[in-house]
This record gives sequence, C-alpha cells and structure tokens, in this order.
Amino acid sequence: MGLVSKGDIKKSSVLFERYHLPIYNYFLKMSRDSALAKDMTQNVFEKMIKYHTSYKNNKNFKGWLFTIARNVKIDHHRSQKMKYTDDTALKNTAAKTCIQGDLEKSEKRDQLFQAMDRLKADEKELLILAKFEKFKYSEVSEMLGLSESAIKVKIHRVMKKLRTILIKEIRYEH
Amino acid sequence: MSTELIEAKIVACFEGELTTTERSQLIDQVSANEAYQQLWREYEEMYELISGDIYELPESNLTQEYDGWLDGQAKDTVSTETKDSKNQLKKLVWFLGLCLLALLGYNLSSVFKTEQPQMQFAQSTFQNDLLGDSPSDRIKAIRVNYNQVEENQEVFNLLCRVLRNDQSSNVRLAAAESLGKYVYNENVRIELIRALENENDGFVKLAIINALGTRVDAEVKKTLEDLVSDETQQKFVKDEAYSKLIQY
Repeated sequence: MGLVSKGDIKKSSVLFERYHLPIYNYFLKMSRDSALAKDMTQNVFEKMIKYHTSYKNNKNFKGWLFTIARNVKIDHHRSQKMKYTDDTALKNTAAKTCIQGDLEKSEKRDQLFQAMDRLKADEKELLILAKFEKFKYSEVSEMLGLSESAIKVKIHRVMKKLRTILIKEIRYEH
Repeated sequence: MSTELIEAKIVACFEGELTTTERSQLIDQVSANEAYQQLWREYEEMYELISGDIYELPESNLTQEYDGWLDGQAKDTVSTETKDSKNQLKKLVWFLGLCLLALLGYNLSSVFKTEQPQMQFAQSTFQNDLLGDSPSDRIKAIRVNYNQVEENQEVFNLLCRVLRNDQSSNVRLAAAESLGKYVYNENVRIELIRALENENDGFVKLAIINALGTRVDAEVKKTLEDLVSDETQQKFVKDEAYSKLIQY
C-alpha cells in the first residue's frame, strides 16, 4: 500500500489480488447478489485509489479497506435499496456450495445464510465482520464507531438471535 | 440456574471468554441436563459453520477485469492527482509559458517541434545499444537508457528477448531486474516464469525469484515448488524460492 499511496496505482493490482475475495464475500453475504457484489468490489478498489492519501501506514490495511467497503455499501443503500433475502440468489449459492462440500453441510450453510438474512442489516454486518472476517473487537469497534464492550454485548445478542432464527424458524420451516 | 443464564454462558464459552474453571463448571452443568446438551450442540454446530466458512469465488475473473480497468485508468489517475496537488504551480507555469511565448516567438515553436523526435531517438538508441556486440553496451542500454524510454509492449518484448537469449549472464541479470519492476504485466510475468525454468545462472534466477515473489499466484507457486524440490538447483536459489513460498 505504501507504493500506491505514493501514487504508483499500478501496484494496486497486487492489493486487489490479495483482498478482493474478502471484500467480494462481504458484499455477497450482505446482499446475496453476486453481480452487485462484483460491482461494489470494483468500486471499493476504485475508491481505494481515489482516497489513497488518507491511508496511514501504521493502520491495519484490511480494516481500512473494509471501512471503504462499508461506505460504498451505505452509498449504494442510500441511492437504491439493497436487496436482502433473494430466493433465487440463495438457491444459486446452495448449488455452488454443493461442489465445495457434502450436501448436508451445504444445506446447513444455506440455512445459516437464510437465518442471517432475517437479522437486521447492522446485526448481519457485525456478524460478518467479527465472525466471518475474524476482525478483532477493537477493529470492529473502530469501523462501526462503537465501544469494544458494546460490540461484545451485541455479538452475544446476535449469536443468540441467530440460533433462535436458525432452529425455531428456518429448520422448522424445512 | 436458568436456561437463559446457561445459554449466556455457552455463548461466552464459544466466544472464549470463560476461564478454565468456569468452562469445566459449565460442562458439568450441561452434561447433567439433556436440554442443555441440545442447546450446546446447536451452538457448537453454528460456531463450526461460521468458523469453517470458505470464501465463495466470483463467477468471472475479477482480477483480470480490474487489471484491464487499471491499465486504462492508471495514466489518467496519476495526471488528475498531479493536477489537483499542483494547481497553483500549473498557473505559474502557464503564466511563465505565456511570457516565454511573447518573448521567444518562433524559437519556442521550433523547440516544441523537436520534442517528439527526441523521444523516438531515445527509444532507437536504447534498441541499438541493446543489439550491440559489447555486453557492457547492452547493460548500459538496460540500466541507463531504459530509464529514458517510455514503457511499452515493444520495449518489454525486447527485454524479454534479451532475458531469453543473451549469452552474457550479467546482461540477462540486468534484464531480469528491469522486467521485475513490471511483474504486474501478465506477459512479463509469464516470460519471467518461463525464463526461470530455462535459466542456468543462479544469480539471474535469484533476481527472477525476487521479482515473482512480489506477486505469487498458483502458477508462480508451482514453479517455486519445482525449484525447491529440484536436487540439481543451487542451495541459495532453493532457499530464496522457499522463503517466497513461506511468505505466500
């Protein structure tokens, strides 16, 4: 990132290669729309180049990139309501994961994502950042502008809520 | 103890917030009750699903699309930033330019006319020196003249040809180091991988490994692994390849 912030934007392709999957999957989990996730991922890296001067070398780069991703998501959300829980997209996801693992695991994963889609957007985002992307509570608190203790409490609530939805709603429906 | 409290403790346990004593106390309580065991299993499965989740891959190759976009944007972005940061300087330059125009008149236009041939001259000098008989001329062409030449595919191709065919290892080393700066270019990267497979000189190999090491992908990884497992390779070459694999 040092070279990119000095203006050598061609070096950003190395950063893209390294970080585009976490960013793409963040958007994919938030929207369940692969085309939208793809566009927004591209948008994040365009913004990374545009605002490269705001990056400080001592900062966690992935965290900084996710802050841009959140802003891209918020901008998009403002202009056009993001699609949550799209059945077609969910089916496509399930079909894809069959290749990666056994059918049962794939079904469970699909059910987990359906349960996540029933969480509030901020709860889902917290879950993705803290659990799927494994950011530390201190990093999540910086990104979301909340205290670390608030993050911890929220995580507990979200995990309980997710289990309730997963067991009592999703699996019951199936 | 209420179910809510047990549930809170189970979540805290999976979050890694309990001490060893608290954890063993909780396990005792859970073991003694069928409903708590069910609750534990549900959380365990959920945490396993989340922590074992792997990234989904996009349907198309986003990296290639981004590189394509970047090639088109790179020059524009740099020039826009330069414009923004040096806005005042630009005004001054314009003012001085107008003054010079008024003072020098036709002399200025004749200077402008020679600018384009000068760039062409730099490239033709670079190409001529690169084809020279003396290795020192060829090294000079790469180390000195190359900096004055505008980067383009033709220049990359020339350097790749030198890396493949030049008899002097010092010339090939200079070519490898120069090409290494442009490892983001797909053609250059492929040429470097090919050169690494065919190169005999250890120091040239070292330069290529260092260049490729800044951008290790599956193909580069395989080439480096082949090098590491090749008993005929020099130790320092294998060590360097191994160090890049570890970083990857």
